[in-house]
Amino acid sequence: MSQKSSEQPTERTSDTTRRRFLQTSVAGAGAFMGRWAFGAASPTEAGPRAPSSGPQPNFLFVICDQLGLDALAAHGCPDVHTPNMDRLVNRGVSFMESYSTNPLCSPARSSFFTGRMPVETGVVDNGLAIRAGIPRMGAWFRQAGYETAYSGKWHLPGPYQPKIDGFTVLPAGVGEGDLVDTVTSRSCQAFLRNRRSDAPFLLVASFVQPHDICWWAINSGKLLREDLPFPQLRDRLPELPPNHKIRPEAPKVHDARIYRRWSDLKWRYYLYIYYRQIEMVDAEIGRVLDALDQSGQADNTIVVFTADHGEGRGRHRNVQKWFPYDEAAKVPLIVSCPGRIPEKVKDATHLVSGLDIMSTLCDYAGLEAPRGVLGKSLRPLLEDKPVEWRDYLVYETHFTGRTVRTPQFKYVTYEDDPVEQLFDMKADPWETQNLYKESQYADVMRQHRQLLGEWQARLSPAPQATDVG
Amino acid sequence: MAGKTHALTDYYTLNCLDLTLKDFEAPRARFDPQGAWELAYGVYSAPRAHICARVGRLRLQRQSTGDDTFDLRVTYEKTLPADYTQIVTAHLECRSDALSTPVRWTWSTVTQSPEGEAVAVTQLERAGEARAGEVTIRDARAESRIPVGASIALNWALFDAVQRLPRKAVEPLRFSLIDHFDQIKPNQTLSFRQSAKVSLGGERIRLYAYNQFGQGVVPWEYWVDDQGRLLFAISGIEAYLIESSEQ
Repeated sequence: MSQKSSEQPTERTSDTTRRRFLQTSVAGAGAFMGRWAFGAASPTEAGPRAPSSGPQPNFLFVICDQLGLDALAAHGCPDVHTPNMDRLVNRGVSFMESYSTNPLCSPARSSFFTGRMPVETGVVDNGLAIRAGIPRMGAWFRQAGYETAYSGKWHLPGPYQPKIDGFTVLPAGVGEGDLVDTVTSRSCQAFLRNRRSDAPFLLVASFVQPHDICWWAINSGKLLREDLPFPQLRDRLPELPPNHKIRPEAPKVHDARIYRRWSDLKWRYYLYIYYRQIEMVDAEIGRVLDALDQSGQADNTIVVFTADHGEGRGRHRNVQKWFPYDEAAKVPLIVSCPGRIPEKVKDATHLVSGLDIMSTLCDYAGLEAPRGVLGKSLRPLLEDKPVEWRDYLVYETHFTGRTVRTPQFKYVTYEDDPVEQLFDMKADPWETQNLYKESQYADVMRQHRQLLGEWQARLSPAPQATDVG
Repeated sequence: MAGKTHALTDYYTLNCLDLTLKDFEAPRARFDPQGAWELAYGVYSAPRAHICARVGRLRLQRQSTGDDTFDLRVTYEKTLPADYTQIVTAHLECRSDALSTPVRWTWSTVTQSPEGEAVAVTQLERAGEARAGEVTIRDARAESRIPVGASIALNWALFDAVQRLPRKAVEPLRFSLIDHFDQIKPNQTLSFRQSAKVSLGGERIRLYAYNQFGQGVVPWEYWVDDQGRLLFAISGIEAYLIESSEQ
């Protein structure tokens, strides 16, 4: 199943005193927060049955924004230091074939919290709300007796909302990641430090960085006279990726975010900033992990770490996201709980997705997943138990784009565009050669189109989702 | 390359502050960076050209406590949605050296409602201490010890340090950064970059710029005036612009 990693965690010493339960509850604090009250749950079915016996684990669900899978030091990136993300890699199972359901903020997040594809949640673009009637994580777990809290970016629909169904919101927001993420980490730190309840908790820490890189690309043409605003950094800039100037034939919509006129120097400075922003959020994650360790609850808390989507990073001359290449679509997915889940394991075999998070949390909590959830529980993979796993996964892009990923190939198609893409991901992981016109791959193309058809037939698209594109 | 409604300067970080500087008037009162002072800054988020939103306030108060030590009090108020505010207050005991090296510090954070009520679950009180190559962070329940290099600086204390640096090129300072009181970020440098005449509030003023680079920071540029007073501190789309200066 896996290959062992040899990374060592950063050395720290910590002396945690025995936690004392105090009198007031977080539910009480939630009421005291006035406008930051949680809304009522709105499931379409009766709600989860809590397990009849046995303690339920806590969950810490950490989300980054615009973090590519291979942008972590422990995943091989030489240009960044991520000691706290590496802590998670060293403490748990890291899935190396992990994909966003739709590499854009709101759609991907809708899948995290429902276990459904964006075309089903109705969130096919940014700034849309999950359609009514679909059970959501916060309410589902709260009904099962969990203490649920959320801090940071939500984006379903608004980036920061004082009310999120099923969650007590710990305030954060106003500004971008550089100013908001510290508020988020402090709020989570305080929650873990101050909570009084005996109930198991589900805490979501949703960070913005390294999403701030979006603004660099947008602003650079307007604010800069030269390609490198800090010449002192010239010798510290990352190298460009091997597929930087390679653009295989692609559907028309792929050309949306290319910066053709950037010099190599400008690209390299872009990468330098991106990796510093990752280091910033790594420090915030460290604050929350330290707080968890010091809370006395780490042994019974499953930490799930992922991102909504990746970032172009100059691969195929792309920036940002919302296209099917791996730089945008592949995201970290790490699950850890020392003593319960194996440590230092990298799973490079199984195709997994943001779709699977809801099922996984439900499985560990002993809850049934809501009806209609398409994700699979990662638990058998995490515990190295035999399980029949998916042969393919599908992700969405740009309203009508669909990608089918099998163990060897990636097939991309857009409605009303005759250009398709087929990449041999084993022989060509940098996606440089589009094989779709080559006759020897005709059967492969047919097979992937058939898999897509089978997948589509299983879905219940939201009404508004079919009206776009 | 000029924008639609403003002319680009030669200085990238000042361009990031954009129209916010249009009516800026530099403080003129006498200022001694070595003495007792109080400076207040608006905290700005500038994600796009022509968008520079004030999202908080930073107040720094410095008081000498001996020949080579001083106290720095920090009050940071960050605007949150629905008119909530996160307030951070801190007390730093520092050395009056090149990096304003922190010796001991305490800080507390709380989120306040629009009515000024503290939200109990968000309260934290913590302390830090630096000694012999190690930083200790503690609160009532737990303590962590983190090894650091020989030279350290705390982010808010750097707002003091840059005001006392030589206004010319010298060997860069190298240190580990203690960011936001408890995040250790090694491999930092702080150095003089340039002297420049900048148009502010209709007049051209001589300013001096310093750059900080390192792990876990988007490059910082600190701009001080002829008296050493820090007027602007900019890191990417995060910016601090002086609003008041008292001594």
